[in-house]
Amino acid sequence: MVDFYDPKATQNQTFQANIKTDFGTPEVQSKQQVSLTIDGQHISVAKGTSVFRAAAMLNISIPKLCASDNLESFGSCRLCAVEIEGRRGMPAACTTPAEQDMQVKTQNSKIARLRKNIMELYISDHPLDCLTCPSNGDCELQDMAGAVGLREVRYGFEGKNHLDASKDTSNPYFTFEPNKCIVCSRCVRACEEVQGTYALTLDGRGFDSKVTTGHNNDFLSSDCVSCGACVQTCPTSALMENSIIAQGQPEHSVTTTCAYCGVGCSFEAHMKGEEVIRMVPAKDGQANHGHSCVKGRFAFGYATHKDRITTPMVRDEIDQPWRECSWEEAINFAASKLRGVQEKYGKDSIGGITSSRCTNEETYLVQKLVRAGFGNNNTDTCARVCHSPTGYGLKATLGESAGTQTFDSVMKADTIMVIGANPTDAHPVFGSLLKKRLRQGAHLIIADPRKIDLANSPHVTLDHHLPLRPGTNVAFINAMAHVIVDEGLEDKAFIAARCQTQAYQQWHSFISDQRHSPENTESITGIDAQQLRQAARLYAGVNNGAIYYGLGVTEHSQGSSMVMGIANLALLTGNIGREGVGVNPLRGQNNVQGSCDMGSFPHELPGYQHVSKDSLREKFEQHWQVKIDKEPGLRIPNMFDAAIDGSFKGLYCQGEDIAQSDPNIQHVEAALKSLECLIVQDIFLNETARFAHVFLPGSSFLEKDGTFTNAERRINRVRRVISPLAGKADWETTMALSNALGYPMNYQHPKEIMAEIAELTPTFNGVSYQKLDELGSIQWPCNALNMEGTPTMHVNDFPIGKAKFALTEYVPTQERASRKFPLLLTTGRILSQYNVGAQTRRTDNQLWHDKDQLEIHPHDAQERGINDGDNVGISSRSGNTVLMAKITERMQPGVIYTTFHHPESGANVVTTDNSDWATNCPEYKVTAVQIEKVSVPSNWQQRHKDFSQKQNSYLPKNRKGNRYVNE
Amino acid sequence: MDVKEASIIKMSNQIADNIGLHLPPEQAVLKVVEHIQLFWAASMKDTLIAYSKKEANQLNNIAQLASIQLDTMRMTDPA
Repeated sequence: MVDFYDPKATQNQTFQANIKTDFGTPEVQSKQQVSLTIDGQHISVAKGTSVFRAAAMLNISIPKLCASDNLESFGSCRLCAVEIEGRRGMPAACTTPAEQDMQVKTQNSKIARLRKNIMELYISDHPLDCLTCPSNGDCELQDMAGAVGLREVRYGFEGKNHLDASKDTSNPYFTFEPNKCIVCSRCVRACEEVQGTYALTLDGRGFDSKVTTGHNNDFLSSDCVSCGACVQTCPTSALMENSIIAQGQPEHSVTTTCAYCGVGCSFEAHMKGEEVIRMVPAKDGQANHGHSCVKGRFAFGYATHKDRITTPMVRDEIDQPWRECSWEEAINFAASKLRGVQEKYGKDSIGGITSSRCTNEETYLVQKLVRAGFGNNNTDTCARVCHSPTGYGLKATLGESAGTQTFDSVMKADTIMVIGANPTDAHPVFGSLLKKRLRQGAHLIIADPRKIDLANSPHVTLDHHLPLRPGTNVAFINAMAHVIVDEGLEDKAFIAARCQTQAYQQWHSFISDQRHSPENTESITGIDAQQLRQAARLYAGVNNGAIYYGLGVTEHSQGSSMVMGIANLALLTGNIGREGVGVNPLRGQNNVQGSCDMGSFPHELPGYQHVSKDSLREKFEQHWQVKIDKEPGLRIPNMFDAAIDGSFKGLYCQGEDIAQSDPNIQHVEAALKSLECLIVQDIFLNETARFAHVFLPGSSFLEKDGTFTNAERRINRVRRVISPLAGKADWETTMALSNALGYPMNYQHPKEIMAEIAELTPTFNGVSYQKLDELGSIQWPCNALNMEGTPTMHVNDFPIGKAKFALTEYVPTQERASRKFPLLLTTGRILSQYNVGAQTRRTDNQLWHDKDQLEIHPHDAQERGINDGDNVGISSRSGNTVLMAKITERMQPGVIYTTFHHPESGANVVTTDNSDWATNCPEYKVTAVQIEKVSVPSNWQQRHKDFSQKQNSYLPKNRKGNRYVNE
Repeated sequence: MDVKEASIIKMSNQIADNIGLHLPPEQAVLKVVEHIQLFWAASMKDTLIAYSKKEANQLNNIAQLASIQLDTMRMTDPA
């Protein structure tokens, strides 16, 4: 068996903490308790708890095969048969609820005989190849055969059986071997109950029963989303990771945090020495509770991909070949270039950008380097281009730049409104939890130009789809608030007790105006007035209304206004300060929340402490022993403008691929070309690196210690499981650069960086690596008032005392459809790929999405003579590109959609430099375009290819891999 | 007009449009100035002030008044 590293194991040995035990059936919540006796031991459990679970709580182990505590009891294997005094026969412990004064026996000779007979039947139709079976050593069937003492199979193996059933190897990550299936249906139930996809089913009856992915398809062509829940729950080798089949069982395990989306799932990295064999979602992961998606579970192979660059490289100009060199030389080269630029163009001519893919400690160090080492505040993070409006909007209204809830809170929501988010693709593990709540009967409102997959989920009833036009969010949210005020549905007591009176009165008078009524906004938003009224009643009329939103809210010219509008709505209905409600931004990348928390924005020091406030700034000055500029610095788009203007000449870019992810790529490229020193620190030679003078090899999440903070403010530990491939973890590289620049940094371990963060940041005062090990994770604020963190925000008051309603007038974006550009393009993400695709494109996830496609409504396609699979040219006022057409009714007429996971697609050649008025977050979601059928790539695509090929020729000749993927 | 100046004008007008619509002009100007002070780099403020002194015909009324006030404030309390 795998020897798990459990940081909590030494802290608390009670059954409550030992969550890794499989209790057989799920926990039951009840105020009523019942007491019973099992094998002479007494226990009191919540009414409705199964006998199996009660026994497990007493550390009494009952054999089982079909039961698992993340699935409802099923009672098919009958191996957990027990005797109950006064009852006939031997009922299954998993399906029998504990009752008051029940007397249970889990072991006697009669029970033993029955269990042995059951196992004998199972094994009579199961291959006896244990020694060569991939699950040898980690097989529940094998364990149970041992537990019941099976010594012979009296039936022989000659009769009818399933031993010749053929394998399904279509999925790149796991294999289905039906001959090893015992039809316990755990996989089918996991697909239904945990993942909510219903891709698997049991076909046939009796002996013919078999697990199937449906008629005439295999795992890959079925609805399966490859989350791995079935593989994880399979008690045999029927569903098995290919890596285990190839390499055998791991020998140790380390708990760490996924480096993909903002859900921040905890995983156990199962290892052989320094090699990751598989990633298994941690059952005690407080964000994911043992669930995963295809990215976190399987797409980790990029970390050791041949394209990884592990030697630093430098060059004087970008049209020169790269020269490999030592770390020392590269760091000194970079430092001298940066200082040279500052001497020539001034102190403010350089800056730094961090990525939300980096840890808290890394982003903290980069902003510290910029403020203390560079001597300015030109620091920013890629959160600029996704959730900066969330920071602004929530701080302005609720007083803190963060979401208000835990993910688990959704299980108490009665109406769930999803605005501009696509959780089943972009936040899949939360998406599964959300679907679970919806299957329990919670109401669902979706406000989105597209009919996202959530709208069509099995056993989910969509109450209202509000297909708003891109760019009209604020008109929509104002109309929702107008209806609630107009119909007297507001929570007057909450408003009186918790909100600033004057601001509310001003807002009330603003929102009551008839221009905000759904009847008047219908022509703007395209949402039927009656539908909107009904949706508003449904949100305001239940006990708990919860709003979940994504980049469809923030990436607009009024992103910040929309975030404030959402906060207004939650305040208006009293949906703040308890479980089941709240304002929930679904953060894109794993550490968006953390990179913002860590002071990456140019105007805020860590913990959102404004740089212009003397008392706050002086605290940092004292600790860092340096003077900090009291003026905010440049944000990413401002850096690009200043670069083109000639006043910004040096950039340190850690883990972010601005040449692919940022809008109006041609503008970005022009800015990057005008730099005299571009330092790129990344695990791959990304698109931005084509313009770089220094390449510093980065380390993947597997190669370093640190923390990520997820969308629910949960700080989770990232633990180093392998040595850094290039010899340095990213925090060490930043430290080396700082030292070379003359600003000393001497941390021995990221825990020392966290200690400094805790000292300087009031909301992190109580955070330490030791506490993270003890508690598993911590949701900030964590300080003297909340020593173990704060799962739900604003329970009694707001950081600003009382919440503030904000006036959110709808101001139409300048980006409008016209005769020249009659369609609106909106961009987004897909399940199998992640952001710029640098990681997932280097995994077998490519099988699901090897190119970006352009989704077009049949009407728009027909008008232009475009068919499915045609090459389509897309033009905007920024530029043009060519993508393959996918005709789908998921779109509304007049709106087209694409993803930006592949660099050669050039999706961001088309997007414009329009941005949010308050934060400069780009308006990715609205671009006026025209499309036409074409036969050749766009000029930009050709130039991109030529430039990439030229850059390839500058790479060291002795290397394989490390090439631009589009060649 | 260069790229940076064009951006600054666009951003100033946008801020004025979003903050100032329902406020008396004096209050609106204060809010716009406060926003720019809190979120803009010194060089961006300088660009705005320089433009408003030069011509300013592409700034809307609130943004123009805000730039004047910003200039006054920066003269009394230079960064």
